Amino acid sequence: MTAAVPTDADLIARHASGDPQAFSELVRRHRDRMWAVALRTLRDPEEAADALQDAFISAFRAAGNFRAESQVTTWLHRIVVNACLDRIRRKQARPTVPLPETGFNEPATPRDSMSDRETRLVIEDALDQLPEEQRTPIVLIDIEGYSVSETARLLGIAEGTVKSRCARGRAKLAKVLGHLRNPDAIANVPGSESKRPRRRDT
Amino acid sequence: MTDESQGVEAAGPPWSVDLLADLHAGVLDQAETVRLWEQVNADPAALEIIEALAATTADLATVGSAAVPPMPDDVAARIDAALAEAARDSLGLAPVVGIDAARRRRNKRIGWATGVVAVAAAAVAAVVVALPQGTSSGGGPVAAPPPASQQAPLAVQSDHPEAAIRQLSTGVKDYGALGSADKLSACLHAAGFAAAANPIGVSPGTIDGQPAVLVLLTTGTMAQFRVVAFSPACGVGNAGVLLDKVVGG
Repeated sequence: MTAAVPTDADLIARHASGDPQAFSELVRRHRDRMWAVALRTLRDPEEAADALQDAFISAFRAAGNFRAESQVTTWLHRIVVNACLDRIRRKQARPTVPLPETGFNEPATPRDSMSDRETRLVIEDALDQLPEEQRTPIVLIDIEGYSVSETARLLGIAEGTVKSRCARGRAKLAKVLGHLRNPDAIANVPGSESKRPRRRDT
Repeated sequence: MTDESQGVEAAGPPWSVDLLADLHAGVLDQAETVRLWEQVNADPAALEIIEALAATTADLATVGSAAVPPMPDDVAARIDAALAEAARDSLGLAPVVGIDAARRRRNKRIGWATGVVAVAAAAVAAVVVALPQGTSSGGGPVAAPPPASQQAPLAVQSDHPEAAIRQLSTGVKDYGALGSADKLSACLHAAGFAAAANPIGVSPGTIDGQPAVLVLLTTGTMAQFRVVAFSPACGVGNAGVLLDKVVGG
């Protein structure tokens, strides 16, 4: 007879009741997905590995407080994202070489001849060209599926700022990815205090 | 700073990509949004930019839904080892080693050759907590626990039953003189344990020098375990309990 495979919630409950193997089983189930999240958020494999280690240890210790009203994967995902964001904040606190702002108007590689995998690499490369402050909210919202309000809470910034940073980043990505057919011909009116619009969510 | 947006005064051809990106992202207030959408919907050049932004977000969504590459083995082994350390820490079985300290140690390792050795060591350490209870997991391949015969004999003193936890928490299921899980179940039943009692680990050994089969059970409390030692002669109608103590928690 084959024993029923325990659910994630079962494993959390078993971990909380002292089963020393339950949490490792939970980690094994979700580590590939969480690895992808960490890698996308941090870009650097070593940083991603460190963040995941922090996240899983944190989850190991906090699992006793897990409440079943949320999905285990959602809970774990949030812990991983928070660990990644902590690392980004720490990194930003250190002096860094600014990312180049040039290159966004370079001709895009023809996309229709590429495989899906190559397309994803192009997208990830394009994301890497964004400043961290634009890249992070775009990763959280457009890739990881967080709402604007959740992202604002995670990043500790106003919702309007999240939207604005996403807007700037998406505009750059649209050019890099070749979705704007002739980006050089489209004027980008320089920002000015007098033209700053009324924000809806700040 | 790049948080500045273009005002709707800039609306109209030639269109500002930034302004339309603000519209697309919901940055503008309600009145501006309504007014601008009317203009955009009437201008194919503006709609083209909006469609480019929508295509961009669609592209990004494909990244999130794509099949993910597996976590590299060395990272998985490292995390398993860290969790094993955390588990031992929670049981009070080893000195507390913080993540930062562990990372500093790891960072001292130089080169791939050293890394490979470290990974192998980590994989062994991971066995401490990473093993399923006698069944295979639904995930990737899992290392099997070392046979009890390859481990040091489990000699426990009744005044220090916690010494049994480290070895029994590896998931070892060696029924020794009892020979099978059924025989152990009979002993557990005779001793009054619930039929559903599912030992974390079982190993032959000694208790105060006397031959025994040592069993580790959960208690329902985090980091608290029950160590029970049965006489090898236990069975139906003969509990043969030599030790029954709760440790940890």
